[in-house]
Amino acid sequence: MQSNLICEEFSRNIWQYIDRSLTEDEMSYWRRHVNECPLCSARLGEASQLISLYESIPLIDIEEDKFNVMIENAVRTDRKRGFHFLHHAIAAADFLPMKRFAFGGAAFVMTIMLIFLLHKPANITLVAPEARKVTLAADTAKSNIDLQDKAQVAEVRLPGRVQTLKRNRVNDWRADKVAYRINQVGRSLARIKMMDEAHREPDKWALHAIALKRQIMLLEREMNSSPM
Amino acid sequence: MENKLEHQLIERCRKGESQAFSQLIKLYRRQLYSYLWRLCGSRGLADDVFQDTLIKVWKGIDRYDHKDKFSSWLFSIAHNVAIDALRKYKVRSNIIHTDEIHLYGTDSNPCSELIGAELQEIMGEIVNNLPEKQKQVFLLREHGDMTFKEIAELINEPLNTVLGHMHYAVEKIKRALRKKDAI
Repeated sequence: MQSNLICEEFSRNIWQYIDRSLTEDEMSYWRRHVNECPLCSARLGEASQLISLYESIPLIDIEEDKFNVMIENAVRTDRKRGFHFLHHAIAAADFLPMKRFAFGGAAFVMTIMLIFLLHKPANITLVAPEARKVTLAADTAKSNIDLQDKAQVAEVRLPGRVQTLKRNRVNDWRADKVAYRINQVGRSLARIKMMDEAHREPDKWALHAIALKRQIMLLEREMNSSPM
Repeated sequence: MENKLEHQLIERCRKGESQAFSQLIKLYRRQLYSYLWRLCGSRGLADDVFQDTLIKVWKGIDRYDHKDKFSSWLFSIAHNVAIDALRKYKVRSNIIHTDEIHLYGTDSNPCSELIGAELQEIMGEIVNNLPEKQKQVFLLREHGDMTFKEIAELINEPLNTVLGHMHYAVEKIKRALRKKDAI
């Protein structure tokens, strides 16, 4: 019974045994078993005979002329040579254990560096006058908020929306941040203005006023950190 | 020695030398063509697949990693192209005609040619009638010089399943040959 199980196991391993792809220990174990077991020995003989028989069949070849034409057709196709240097670079970095990640990281860093190199730090001057106007208006709004003068707060006028980086008008990170803050202040103020007299509930108004004050504070902080 | 030659030819191919590409393919041409013929079951389709394989190998030679066996890489490309083509044309393998094989057979001994032709006819028929996966595993092992592990990776099946396919393929071939009194 036990022998049958071993023989079954051998029949599962027979192809790896023939290919010598088992470990040294496994190979010697099965070698011993085959020498002792007539059934497995016969099985192995049959399998090897069949393979030899198949391998004795002459191989089929393609005609020389046809082959040459096919080679010509193949080499005529374009190869993506643009990435040649990358392949060589990756091959050269074979010593790195995780070369793909290393190259990914390097490419990312290079991209960031490129963005900063191409970045033009110029248009802060575009935003500065807007920012000054907004801070003046914001000061008025703030003192009116403190005095709880709802009507006066609603009267405060801010300059229009400042274009941020997304619209390609501002191409400076600092200017972009300031522009963003200006717009946030504008939005907060607009929310207060939208509340008409009838709906100026004290709680809601206070909530919006806090939000506006917070936006003004953030704008001031941004302006203080960005010399204009 | 052959590996060194192969390596040099691959490097020359990468530089765009068509002569080197021809020499490189010639190292495996017969094995590859026989494999495709058996897998596709028709000469016309085998030719098409052989051509497409050459194109893909030429285009992708830069991506070949020297750590892998070139023959395994070549056969895996050929296998994928053949499977795609078979799926596309929905061609079921037919019996290979021996008169065609006579024309291109490379054995020069007339006696062995005769035995080979008879055996080829019988074997061709049997192999062609094997279930698809069993046929693929058997042919990849016999022509592609691939290990079962490599075959398992290529056809995306567990190693034990692949070994099972091989086992059943050989059992079926054995039974069929016995029926025809060929062994």
